[in-house]
Formats: sequence, C-alpha cells, structure tokens
Amino acid sequence: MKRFETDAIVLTTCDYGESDRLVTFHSAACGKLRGIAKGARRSKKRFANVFEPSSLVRVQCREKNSFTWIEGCTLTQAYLPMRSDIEKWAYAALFSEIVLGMVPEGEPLAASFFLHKETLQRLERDKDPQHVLLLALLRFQSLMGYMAALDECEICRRALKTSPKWFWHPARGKLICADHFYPDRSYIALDTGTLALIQYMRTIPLEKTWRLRMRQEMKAPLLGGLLDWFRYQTRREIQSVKVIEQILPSWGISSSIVGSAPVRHAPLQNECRYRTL
Amino acid sequence: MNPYPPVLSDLIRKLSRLPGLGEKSATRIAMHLLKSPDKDVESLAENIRQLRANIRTCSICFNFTEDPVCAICGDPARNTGQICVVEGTADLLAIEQSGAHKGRYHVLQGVLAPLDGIGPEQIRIKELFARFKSEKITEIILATNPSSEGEATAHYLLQILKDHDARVTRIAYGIPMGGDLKYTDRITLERALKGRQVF
Ligand SMILES: [Zn+2]
Ligand SMILES: [Zn+2]
Repeated sequence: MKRFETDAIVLTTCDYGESDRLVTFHSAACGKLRGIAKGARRSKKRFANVFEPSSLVRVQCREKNSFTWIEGCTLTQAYLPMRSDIEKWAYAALFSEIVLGMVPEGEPLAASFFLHKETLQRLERDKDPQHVLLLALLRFQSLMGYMAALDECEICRRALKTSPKWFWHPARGKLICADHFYPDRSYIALDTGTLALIQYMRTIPLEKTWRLRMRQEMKAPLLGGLLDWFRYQTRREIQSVKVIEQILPSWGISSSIVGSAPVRHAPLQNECRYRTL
Repeated sequence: MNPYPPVLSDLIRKLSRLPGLGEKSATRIAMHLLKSPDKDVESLAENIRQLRANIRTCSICFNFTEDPVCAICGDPARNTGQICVVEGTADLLAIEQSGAHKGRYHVLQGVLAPLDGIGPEQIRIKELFARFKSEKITEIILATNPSSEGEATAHYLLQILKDHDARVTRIAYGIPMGGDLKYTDRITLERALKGRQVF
C-alpha cells in the first residue's frame, strides 16, 4: 500500500459502481492519473466542488489492489471566471481532451502539468484566448517530443534562412522548402519568421512563451495543423472541436486542413466505461 | 466460473448497467425478482414495456408525458410568461415539488459537455428559441446546476438570449437551508457572500 499526494488538474469524472466516482487527473507526480473517489456520489460534502473539469486541486491518494483510491482532495483554484466565457471554457476543455489522449498514465511528466496549469491561468486572464491555446499546443507538441527540428528542408537539407517560404506538416513532423513542395492540402504554408518564432519558443522558459506574437494569418492554419497532429496520433476525432464549431460559428479551424489520418469516431470518455470492480 | 444460469447472469449484467447499480445490487434485485410472485414480476415487465411505448417528451417543454403536451404546458394558469430552464426532468420534478415556480419549464435534456461532443445542437436550445414565436415570454429563469458545465451552459444561454425581449435571471447561489457555514466549501461561501442581499 502506497500513499502519495500531488497537485493535479481535473480532466474528467464519471460515475463508477454504486456510489463512487472515477476521476481522471493530469497530475504533477504521475502524468495522467485515474482514481476512485469512494462514496463521492452519496455524500457531496467530502468532495464538494473539487471534481469540476479544469479545476486545480491537491489530491491525496492510496494505491491498493492495483487501484488508486482518492482519500482527500482540496481545491486550489477553480478558474471560475472561465465558466462565464464560453470561448475560454471550451478551449480549456479542448486542451484537456488533448492531454487525455497524449499524456501517458503513471509516468511523471511535470512539465506537461505545469504547461496545463499555466495555460488555464493565461486563458482566464488573456484577451486573446485563441492565441493562448495555439502557443500552449505548440509548446505541448514540442514537450511530448513530436515536433521536428524545423531547421532545414527534409529533402534538400537547405537551411531555414535560405528560403522565405516553407511548408510544414505538423502531424507527420515534416518540413519542406518551396522548391520541393508539391500541392498537398495537409501542409501549412509558413514564412521563415513564424518558423523561427516556433524554434525560439522551444528554447525559452514557459513564462516567456506567452509574450510571443504570431502573425494573425498564421494562427488558424497552425491551430488546424496541431489539431490534425492530435487526430493523427490518437486516431480519434476531437469531440470538443465539434462543440467549439457550434458555439463559435466563425471558428472554422478544423475544416481548414483536411486530416490525412483515418479517424475513429469514438469519444475519449469511453475509457470511463470500463468497470472492473 | 460464473455460478448462475445464463438467463440470470444476463439479467444481472443488464441491471448493473443501470445508473447507481453495481454488480452487488444488481444481483440482489435479480434474486428478489426470482423469488417474487409471478404477477408482480409480470406487471413490472409490462410497466417497462409501456414506458417505452407510451412515454414521450412534451412537444413544448420536453418534459416526459403520455400526451402530446404535458400537464404543465396544458394548464392555462401556468402560462405566466416565466420559463424555468432546467437540465433534466429530475430537476423539473424537484422544483415542482417545492411549489416555488408557477410558470412553465423548458427541459434542455443535457448541458454543454465538450469532451462528450455535446454542443448546443445536441440539447434543446433551438427549441427554447422557437418558443418565443408561439408564447409571450417575459422571463427566462436559468436553473441549470451550479457545476462547471451547468454554469457554462447558463452563460451561453445568457449570451444568445440577449437579443430577445425577455428578462434573463439566474437562480441564486448559496448556503443550503439548515446548513452549516463551518462545513461549507470555499466556492459556495464565496458565491454566497457575493450574492448577499440587503436584509
Ligand atoms: Zn528543399
Ligand atoms: Zn410541457
């Protein structure tokens, strides 16, 4: 039996068995963490208001019989203002969905937790939430080790500075120069400046990331490319994108680039359905 | 090895999928049904069949009903111009039992839930707007739960209702009656203080 305590962000919750709840966190100590909160449905007092999606909490756990049991949970930050701004709230959900699909369970990856925490703080107060989401996803892709070096053409090896125009395929991690590009809608056309900015972002501490400014016309294609990367990696459709398209009709990002990955139409939440007790 | 005959274990498996039931309760219920008089079990089965055949949602408010329009929508005295918007029928019943609301309802049949792919089109929001054409609505009372999803849904409704004439109100947040401040969580206390009124 092992006891531990960690900071964590609530990703999803679902009913479990007769009176419990199964909660999935993004934790600082052990990546994605799933724990059972015993009696959480019967008594609202013990776990009042702590399992709301995107809340920052401190959670105490006990490992027993290959299950993680949540013994206590205290709320650190609820990010309440986000609930009154549907765009910010939906972007927080989108980031959670990507974390759910990409962060491994039980492996410590503190940097991704801190990125998530900072993303929520920035989303809460920044006036351009879409820009926050874009920077967070770029940083996340790089952190998870999926971002290519972005310093030369994959075919002719020419350096970034020698061509003004480039084509990037975030899902496959390919970068090619204008000379070697053949028309393919799954590539994003990028200027050298934007690529240099993305490269620079990987070398600076997280808190400085948010000051970077992407060119306005680059934002939508980049975001679309990053979402395709997620679809490609997980072979899943992104549920929250469908909702964002409904609540922000002007979004139109997921359709800007046609994903080349086969897409399985299954919500990530399915994992909540398993019951092994 | 499963100790039960296939029919019984199949029933236990199906019962344990019902909300709030685990395998233990499901087994208990199955055993109870096995020992109950034939007529009780048959009448329960008939009830379940009838439920599927006869119960539908009200064409106005989406409350459950046996008729095309539910008893509340069919009652002219409830046409007060106030519509109380709730997430589900259970919430409607809770408010009805309190007797505090004299107007009509609108059951959304869910809340916005991005990770489940539930957006405005998956719940009864369009139908709420359609009611402005057929009813004289003076007030929309947003009574979704004070959870993250319920709150976001209420704010979304507030945002898209702003071009309509009706007054939009939100149920108050606070300490439950008979409650105790000492045992109240931080967020509820904060909201209760923010929502304080002149006494
Ligand atoms: Zn080249
Ligand atoms: Zn009705």
